[in-house]
Amino acid sequence: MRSEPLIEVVDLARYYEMAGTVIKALDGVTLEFYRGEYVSIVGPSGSGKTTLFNLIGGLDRPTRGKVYVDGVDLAELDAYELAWLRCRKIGYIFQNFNLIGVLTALENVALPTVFAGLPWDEGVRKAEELLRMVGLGDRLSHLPSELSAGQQQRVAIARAMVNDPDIILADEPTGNLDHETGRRIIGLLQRLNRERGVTIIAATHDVEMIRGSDRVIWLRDGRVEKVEVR
Amino acid sequence: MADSTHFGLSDAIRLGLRYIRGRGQAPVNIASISLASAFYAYIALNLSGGLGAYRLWLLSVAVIVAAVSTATVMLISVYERYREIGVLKCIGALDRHVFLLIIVEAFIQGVIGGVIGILLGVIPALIFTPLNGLSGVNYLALASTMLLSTLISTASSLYPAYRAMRLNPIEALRYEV
Repeated sequence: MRSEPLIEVVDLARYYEMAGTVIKALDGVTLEFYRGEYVSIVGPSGSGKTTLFNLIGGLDRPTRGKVYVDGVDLAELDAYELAWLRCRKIGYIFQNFNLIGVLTALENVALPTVFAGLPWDEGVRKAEELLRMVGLGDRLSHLPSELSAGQQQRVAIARAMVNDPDIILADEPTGNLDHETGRRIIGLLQRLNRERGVTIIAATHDVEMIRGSDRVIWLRDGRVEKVEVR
Repeated sequence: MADSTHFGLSDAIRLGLRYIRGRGQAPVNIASISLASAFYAYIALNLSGGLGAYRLWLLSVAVIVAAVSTATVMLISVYERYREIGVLKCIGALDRHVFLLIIVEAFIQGVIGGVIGILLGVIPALIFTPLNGLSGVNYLALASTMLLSTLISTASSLYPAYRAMRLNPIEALRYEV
């Protein structure tokens, strides 16, 4: 009954050569992600989570295997098309928020709309709406340094959502947050998943984060150890 | 898939101005560029005696110092922003967008440095040299000062901008603070 997968990863491998030895960051991973899913990817550090994200986002090219996003083979896209994909289809959330330090919360959220080709005023309007939605309507003109960690991550989530992406890739989104703040961030991601139907793929160690997911994928040494459907 | 991402001159100016305002390096660049252009403006306004080897030498030193200092400071500024540039690439920036951003920043600093340099050059020239007040000011000298300051700033930022452009977002994002 399930439709076409939104993301399809087939026998994906990425090897690096470091000081003469080959490091198999990802070694033959086959996975499917469906529209509207909330998937957690769990594994010790070095298990290949970030490499998988880099490949799905087209930031890196695989040594072997394929990534299809919405049926399109990423290997066939050039740098321009990959940039477009990252801008419009995928939103990124990082462990350390990675906001632009010289921009206010509002400007940070509006920035991806510039790359999407929206006029600045329109981007700012959209950004304001999203910041209100994540509960930061009163922090629009604050710089990241004037916000708490939890508030910064909410700004980052709003930034990831501003171009209405199909997919959010979250790399340890609660890794730098205390328990309570982390729980609120997870709640927000789950709300976005339910209300807006955005597919969330989150690399995490956080039990709370795993608890709410549709599926949990366990990675170890660059391979899928098990997939747990909830 | 559809066309690529956008980042025009006005977008580069908007973001570039935020960076100039928000970071400590811009004043250093502006100071060194202003000094070289003040020097040039003062000399250009008093060319009646000819340039002369000594003045030419002084001027060259000032320009080279300003260029080297700007290149160094811009390079530091790019390295300090490694992650942020990585983020820009993550949200859709192309290499040429990053290049444009850095060059636009450099150009704006050159313009600001030029204006300050002209003021610093004209005022002592009015006081210490036999110019007939403001009417004696040679506007060609001022225009060439402006040209020199923007040229120093942009030309010496070409390499830093290239480094920023070629930065690999995966490595940039792995950078820990």
